[in-house]
Amino acid sequence: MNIEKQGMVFPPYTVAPDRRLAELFARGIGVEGVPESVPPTYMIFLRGESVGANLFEELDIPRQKALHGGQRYDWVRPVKWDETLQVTARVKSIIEKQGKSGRVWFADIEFAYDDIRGQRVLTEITRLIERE
Amino acid sequence: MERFSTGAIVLDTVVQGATRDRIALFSQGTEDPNPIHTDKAFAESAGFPDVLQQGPMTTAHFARLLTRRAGPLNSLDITFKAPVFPEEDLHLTAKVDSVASDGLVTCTLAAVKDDGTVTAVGTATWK
Repeated sequence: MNIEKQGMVFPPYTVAPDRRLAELFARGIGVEGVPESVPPTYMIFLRGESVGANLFEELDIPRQKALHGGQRYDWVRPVKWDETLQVTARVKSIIEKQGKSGRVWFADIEFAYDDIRGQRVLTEITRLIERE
Repeated sequence: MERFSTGAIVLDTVVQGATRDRIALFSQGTEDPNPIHTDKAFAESAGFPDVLQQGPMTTAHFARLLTRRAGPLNSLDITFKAPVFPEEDLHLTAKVDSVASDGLVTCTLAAVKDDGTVTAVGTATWK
């Protein structure tokens, strides 16, 4: 993992909830049909990967050595269908530790989701781990 | 929405293990290109015996089930502790730790496999 990327802020990008993707998301957890409201954790860091916030590439994390350590969501309000959110991603911290079988890196990346008026809707933190 | 007091059990339920097809659907639904969820050979090259259920699938289960019981959440914080493989059921629990004077409920969460392996722990809050 490239520890020098700590503090990096990715160029903002936009995300709008997509009913087709939400249906696949819901079916993945065993719920059929398009959800009535946007699933609470529909907004996920992975949606930035194709539009400029590719964490694996930018932080130089080989997928075979990557683990997902966790997620945190702080909601101001639920996301609505038919709204577009601007997302700003920031590499909040990268910590290196010595594990039993080599070094391990822990990265916390924060994604701030704002509505069209610039009001915060939610914040997501994803925790990525790389094993040496 | 229902009101809760300290010690209340908010969730005590088993979610059926996801099939490979469901895991693949969740990857599509979250725009997750990581082959570790869909390609067994790739998962083996990463040191696992099979493809992995996505950690965010556990988060999504908690978010959905807690929202149904308690209404919109203020926060949800999940730490993934162990991999979950296809068809492995998860026993999800949520217990109220505290209720603040302003009504903020804080709840402790756990996801556990049939063999007792804890796969995720966390907290959730709501008012």
